[in-house]
Amino acid sequence: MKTFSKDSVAKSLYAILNVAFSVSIMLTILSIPGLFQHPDIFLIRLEELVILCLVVITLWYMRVISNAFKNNMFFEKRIVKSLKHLSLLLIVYVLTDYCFHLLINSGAYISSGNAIADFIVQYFKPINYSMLFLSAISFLLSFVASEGNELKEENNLTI
Amino acid sequence: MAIIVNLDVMLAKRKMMLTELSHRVDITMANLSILKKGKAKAIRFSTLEAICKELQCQPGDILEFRDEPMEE
Repeated sequence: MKTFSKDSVAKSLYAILNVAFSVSIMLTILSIPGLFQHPDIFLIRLEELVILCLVVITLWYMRVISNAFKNNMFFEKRIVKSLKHLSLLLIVYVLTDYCFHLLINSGAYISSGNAIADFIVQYFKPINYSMLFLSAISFLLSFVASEGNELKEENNLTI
Repeated sequence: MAIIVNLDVMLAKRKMMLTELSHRVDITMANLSILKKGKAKAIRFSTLEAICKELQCQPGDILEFRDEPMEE
């Protein structure tokens, strides 16, 4: 049975990320004129624009990481930095998404009569937990890469 | 680091150039240079053996321990 090798997966991922990066840049540029067209949905358009900008930067870092993976250079200092930045960006993404959700949907909740349930639905449900989880994984991966980088340097300096 | 490499001293005693040692022990100049400057993190027994064989000395002639305060 034919299996996917690490190289082919890394190359495919890099190609997909390249396309996604180009598309996200195009979408970001295209969304700028629509910002002031309808003042009543300004906040929604602003949220779209901010999220798109964050997606562009996130995709950039993901491209850098997948490129390093493709070239077998994962345990490098710049990859450690990129993974840390990616983790931070994902937290910023979650926070931005959460803040805009609260701003846009403030007062749009129908009370169920149970104060605790209302509080949970209003303030905890909108949090993007999958992204938060991804951010934590990225942060942990940065430590793995950092440890790998130290071991690699030590190995390189063993005569 | 508390371990000092005295490779340059031994080379001077044997009147040998680093390039010559590099050819004799089959270790690149870059690696020998790292060792000589004391930037190496570790040394393999096989490398130490080859150097000692060529320089006709003991490991203690090349490596020396000096009790220094730990670097921050």
